Amino acid sequence: MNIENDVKGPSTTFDQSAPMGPFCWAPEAPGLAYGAAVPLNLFDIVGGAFGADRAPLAPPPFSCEILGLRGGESAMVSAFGMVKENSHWASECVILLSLMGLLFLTNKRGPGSGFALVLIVGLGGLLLIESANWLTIYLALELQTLALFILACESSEDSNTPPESGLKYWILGAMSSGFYLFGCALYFGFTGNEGMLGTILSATLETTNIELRQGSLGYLFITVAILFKLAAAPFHMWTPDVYEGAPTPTTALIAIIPKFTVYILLTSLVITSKLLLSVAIISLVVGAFGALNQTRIKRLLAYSGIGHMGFILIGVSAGTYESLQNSWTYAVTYLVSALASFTVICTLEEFGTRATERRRRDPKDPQGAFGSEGRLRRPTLAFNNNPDPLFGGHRRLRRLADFSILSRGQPYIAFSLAIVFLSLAGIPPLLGFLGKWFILVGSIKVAWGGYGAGGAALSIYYLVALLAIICTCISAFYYIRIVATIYFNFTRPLIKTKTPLSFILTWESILKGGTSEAEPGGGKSILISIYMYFILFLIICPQPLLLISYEAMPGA
Amino acid sequence: MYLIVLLLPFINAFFLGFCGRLIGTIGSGVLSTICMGSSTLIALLLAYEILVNDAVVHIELYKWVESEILITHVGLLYDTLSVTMLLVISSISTLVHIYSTSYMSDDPHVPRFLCYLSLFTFLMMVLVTSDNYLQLFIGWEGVGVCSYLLVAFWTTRIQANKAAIKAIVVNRVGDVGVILGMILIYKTIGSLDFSALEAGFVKPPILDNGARLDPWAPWAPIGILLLIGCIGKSAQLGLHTWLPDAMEGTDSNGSRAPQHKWTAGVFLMIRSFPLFEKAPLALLIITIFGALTAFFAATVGLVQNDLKKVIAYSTCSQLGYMVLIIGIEGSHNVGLFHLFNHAFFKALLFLSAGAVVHSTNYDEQDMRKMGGLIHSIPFTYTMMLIGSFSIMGLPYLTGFYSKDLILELTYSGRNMGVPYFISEQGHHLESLEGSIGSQGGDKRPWGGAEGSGPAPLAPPLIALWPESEPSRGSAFAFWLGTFAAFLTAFYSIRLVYITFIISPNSSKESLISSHINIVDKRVLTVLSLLCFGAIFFGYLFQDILIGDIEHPIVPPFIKVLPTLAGVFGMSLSLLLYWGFDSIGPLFILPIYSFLGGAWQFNHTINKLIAIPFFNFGHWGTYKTLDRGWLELFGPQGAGYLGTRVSQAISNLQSGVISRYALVLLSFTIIFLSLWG
Repeated sequence: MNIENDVKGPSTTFDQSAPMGPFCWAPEAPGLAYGAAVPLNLFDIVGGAFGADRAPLAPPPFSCEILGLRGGESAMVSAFGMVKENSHWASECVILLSLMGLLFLTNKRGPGSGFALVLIVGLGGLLLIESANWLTIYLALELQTLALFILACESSEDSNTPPESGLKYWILGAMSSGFYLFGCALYFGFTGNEGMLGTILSATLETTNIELRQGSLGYLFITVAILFKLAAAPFHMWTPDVYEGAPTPTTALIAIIPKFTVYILLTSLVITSKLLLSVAIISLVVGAFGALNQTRIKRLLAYSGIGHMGFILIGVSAGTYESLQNSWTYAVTYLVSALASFTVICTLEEFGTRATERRRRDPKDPQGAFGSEGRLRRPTLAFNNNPDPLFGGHRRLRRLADFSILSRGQPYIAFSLAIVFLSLAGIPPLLGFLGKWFILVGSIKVAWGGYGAGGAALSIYYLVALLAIICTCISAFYYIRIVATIYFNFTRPLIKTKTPLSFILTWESILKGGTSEAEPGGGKSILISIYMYFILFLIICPQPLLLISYEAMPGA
Repeated sequence: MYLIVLLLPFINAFFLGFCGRLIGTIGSGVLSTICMGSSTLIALLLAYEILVNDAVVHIELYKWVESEILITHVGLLYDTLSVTMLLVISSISTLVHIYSTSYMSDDPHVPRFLCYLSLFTFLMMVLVTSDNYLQLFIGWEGVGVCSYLLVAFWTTRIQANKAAIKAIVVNRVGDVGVILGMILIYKTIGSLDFSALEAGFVKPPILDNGARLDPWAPWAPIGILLLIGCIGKSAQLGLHTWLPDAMEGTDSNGSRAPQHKWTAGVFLMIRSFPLFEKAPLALLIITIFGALTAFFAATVGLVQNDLKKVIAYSTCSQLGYMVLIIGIEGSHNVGLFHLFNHAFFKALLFLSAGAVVHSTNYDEQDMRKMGGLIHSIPFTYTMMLIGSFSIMGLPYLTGFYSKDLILELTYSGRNMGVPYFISEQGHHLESLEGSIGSQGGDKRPWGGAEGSGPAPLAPPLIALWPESEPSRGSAFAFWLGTFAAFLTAFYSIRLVYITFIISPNSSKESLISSHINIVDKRVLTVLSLLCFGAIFFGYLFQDILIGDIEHPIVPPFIKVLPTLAGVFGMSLSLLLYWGFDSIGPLFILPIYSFLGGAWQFNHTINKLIAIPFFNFGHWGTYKTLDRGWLELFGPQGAGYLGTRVSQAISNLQSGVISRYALVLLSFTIIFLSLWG
């Protein structure tokens, strides 16, 4: 059975009880306990990362050692913890900032809102970046993933997607964890070393020493597990289903935090570039072609993420400092675009939720022409007077067709969404172009010679760059199709009430924030505007980003 | 000031184009008169500064293209050449603007027309004032577009549209030549600036062993490519076909517009003269093309019956003279001088012809239906006569000074004698010869004995014409040019005679036309000014423009030959038409139709080039390639492939978790077996 076109396919066997509301998992969730623990740990991390001069916040050294983290006194001294040079402050800042953005996405309030789990995901990411040996990496990875399992299992209100996605994520994640542990065991068994990232250089992979080769076998298993977390192409199978099934804020979380942190981990490892390159190529192709016939926005975003991961892996596989920096830049630009897209989608869903709730409160007014206050509501929005079941009935915004002529009802949101998708497609003045450009130029440089991993020209990268361009063209098709849907799809009947000229006064709603379902909450509008600022204007002065990428990558 | 002279036409075009509807016919006329008039005055001021005071102004506005070593500025270069052109362009253009306000007073679209004209003027100025080929090319293409717009101004006339399309398509052939020439120039000397063009010749590439010395190798192809551009733009033989059609098809309206356009090609040649000086083969080809064009167009002009077409072919013929003299070594300034002179008397002829056509009832252009107009429009007749005398080169009129000099210089024949000329002038090749002599002894690359005078120093190419003086190329050009002068006199007088003097052939109504006796003051002013130019400018500007070029010493008979030819042609024409009243019986019919059909160039080109190309384009590139293979492997194939691959990926994504696990596991195993 094909889940592509019907989510209700195999998953209907799960329990579809009545909508449980925002408190669905609160009673049994361990979130409260974690929620209490998280801030302290975060401070620990930050304190540890920035050295011991922040004495009040820094944990005692032994606790650091127990945690497997870097000690407070010295950068290099730790039995258990960090051995590598720490240059991850930039990546950590990115993670924390995007975590802040992600926290705004959920609509829920109160103890069941899952903030704690989101924070645990972030904590896991930070720990992952800071970890230095295989064991702590594993623990951090699992900490992150377990929280995500719970979040992904949360069913949404209309409950036609039971926790299928969480289950899939869990089972496949367990499989990848198994790979990881198996790889660790092999590695440990043959090298006797549980830590020391990067001790096996790629050069030793060519050796005939059987032990080293088996050690590298373990390394490969570990790599596969990491690529699974990255959702790179042959190991991407869980992504579309999980994206589709999970609530949108969780989807955003899955799409952003684990991918980015695991990507940072990947750059710290030294992995045979052939594997990464082949995975990158497959990711590009799958990301480009897989999304072509998707009809649902989140599945499409999943494939888009796969394609973007292919781009990032091109930079990683080249293995030079410059290409690593390029890939980091690309990852950050993609992060911003993805955050923006998910924020916009969440905002639209929120409108739908509010409309549903109001209708529930006020059954006499199914069309919603009048608010509960009795005054004539500003007919700003399409779905206010729209008999269409999209905005009126369902709270979710699933299909691409649901975006039809969004520009008429929601000019600003629609514009933002269009800009985001154009940026994802890599249209020149936007942010997405910047990253793609760097990656392509970097790979051409690698191919041109002198900069390759072994100092040799890797002329395969000409072909890779060409393939990347072709895949970008193909993927531009579906991105731009969404933009066209937003602006030009007149197949559905036009909404009778036109957007009044007073939509210029939307700043009012931005400042006041979420007074009616017609307006985005204050937090989200500000977030969207920040993302828009970066997407639109960063290309004017991209040097700070490049400087940060220089700081962020190891060896710089 | 140096910028305003350019900006004024642009401002005029801008306002007329965007606000012409608001300011109306009279307002647009006033505005363009003011703008263009000011531009002319400024150009006069610039002419004082640069021509008289002998200053050269070079303004680099900003960097435009910056790519590796190709750095091109947007710059303005005002030297003798460009200021002369500027003077011609601005003054003629101003007069044409004023004339148009009168001529087109019935037309509802005067602002649009004036806008096109001003834009044309602006782009022409960009062309002549640019300091590099790239910027020149902007003007070059823009002029082409504007002339298209002007020729097709009356869009409802099918002939006008056809002529406009023909003009732009034929010009495109020349544009390709210019583009390729530019690329070659960049490839050879690494820059597109005109200054670099001269500097690029300072050091001819001398190899260390001196065994193989070929300093002219790259220049001949460049010269030929630029010549192709000139052939297209300046209506030389082969690509001239657009010019008469543009004249004829436009109903005497946009006909004045390409007026400057055809000078663009000649300008390009003069501008590139340092290049041609080192490319004797290109010079020879230029001379031959110019001479053939002069001769060909004059013969065709003999038998044309359309008033405009006669003038068009005469223009073509005069352009042939200009190109011809550029091919004569070191005489390009004479070409510029002839261009300058020709602009005035040809403008006089064109505008008078416009007045003649306009004075008939139905805007008649066929000379056979005119006649006797001397009684109704005596002023126009006078102007026409002066213009014709000037173009014939009757002594001491404007045309005489340049045309005579051209033929004399051609006779003295310096063009093929490049080595002699250079050794006479003590050019760098002297030292070059010395270096070779010291290194290679008697191993001259192009043979010849040592110490036998300047003659042996000739590259293999030139060694084909080493002995005779004057060379065959220039003798060819001289005799064709002289014969063309004879023909010019013939058809000019024929035109005047048939149109004005013989008894009327038209109906009575056409002579009792409403505006036949009214000479608009604007037309009168314009024609008077041009008449002044056609009479005196040759004398006035002689020394400024041709500078240090001396009249060569030629036999007295040769000296008076062009004038004699002109007088003879005039007399013959008068005799024939006076005595026999018709030229028909005197021409054998095949020759007449051959000339009347313009040597069947249109037919030949259509048959041999256009139709095969159309066929190839339709069946080959369009049907087979574009709609066939490219479509198959391009959009359609990609769409099909995309759908299939996408469907396959979707099918893989079945939602069954065990299958997901299988894929994960199998790919892990594959990777392990590959690189484990």
